Amino acid sequence: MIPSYLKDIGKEIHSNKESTKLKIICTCGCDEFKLFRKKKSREYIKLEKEYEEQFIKEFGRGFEMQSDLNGQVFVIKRNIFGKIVKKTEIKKLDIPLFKNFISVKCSSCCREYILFDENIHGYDAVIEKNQESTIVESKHYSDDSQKIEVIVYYNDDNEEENINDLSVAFGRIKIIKITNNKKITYCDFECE
Amino acid sequence: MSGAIIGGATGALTAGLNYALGGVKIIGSAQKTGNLFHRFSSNVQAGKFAMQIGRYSEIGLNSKLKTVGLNGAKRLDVTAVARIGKNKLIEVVSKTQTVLSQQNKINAMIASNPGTTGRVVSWALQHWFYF
Repeated sequence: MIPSYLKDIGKEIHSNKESTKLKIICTCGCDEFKLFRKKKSREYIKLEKEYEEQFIKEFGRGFEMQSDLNGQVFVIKRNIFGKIVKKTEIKKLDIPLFKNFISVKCSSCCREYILFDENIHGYDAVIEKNQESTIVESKHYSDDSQKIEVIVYYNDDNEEENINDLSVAFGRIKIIKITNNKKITYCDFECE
Repeated sequence: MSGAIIGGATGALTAGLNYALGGVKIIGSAQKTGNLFHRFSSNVQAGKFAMQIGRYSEIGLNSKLKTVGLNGAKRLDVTAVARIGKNKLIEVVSKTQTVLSQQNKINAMIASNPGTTGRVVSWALQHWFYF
């Protein structure tokens, strides 16, 4: 299955029940692209770091959460005997979640294509029925050009969901860049 | 007709025996990611739940919450449906996920399934310290 938004530029090179591997080729025929990946702003990194450091200090990196019968959520900490020693109510998170966004620009004709927008692509985005694409104010593409391959991984029980476009409901996407015949994983996102 | 009756009776008997003996149904298989730890960790956790005879009726590996009878269509690495006590939801950390994104994910799932416990697992041996 080829994700519908990649149909025009994705040439299938391998496919099985679980995954599809595509080579990205521009509609002009060129297969060399410059890459862009949305980065977190400095302010966001600072905010996220402060929040996470505080959270990890209190509850650890692997943490436990519990909901009561009313659906109220708490983060809890246990001692070595399993007894709850700390319980903090979780309210709405103040920090918006960062959403990944990857696009490419053809080295020859400069057409741009989105390879992955976490807001609208992938299983979680599809079942949450997100409609809004990520807004990127300015894109700074890489200076060097490379060939691109994309692998998308699917689960076989997505049909049960009332999903309009199953091809976009992949569970994982891996983007590989090929430079000097060397394949390097550019990114690997879990989408569920 | 007799086949349906015999089949139904056998099914009920098998289910009853399974329940009495504390049988547990495993659904799905661990998610494959680029990280071996992720799969190993999910399997260890599922195995640990399965060893607690009689406590859990179903264990889902990378399965949707609704597949194991809970609310929601999101997927979790391990979901254990309890006969006794609270249901358990386990999410194993991936390289690309942050504490914030994990917290957000688990938060939404356990809020829509009152009386549930969710845990984020960040290192393999942590399973043995989880009650």
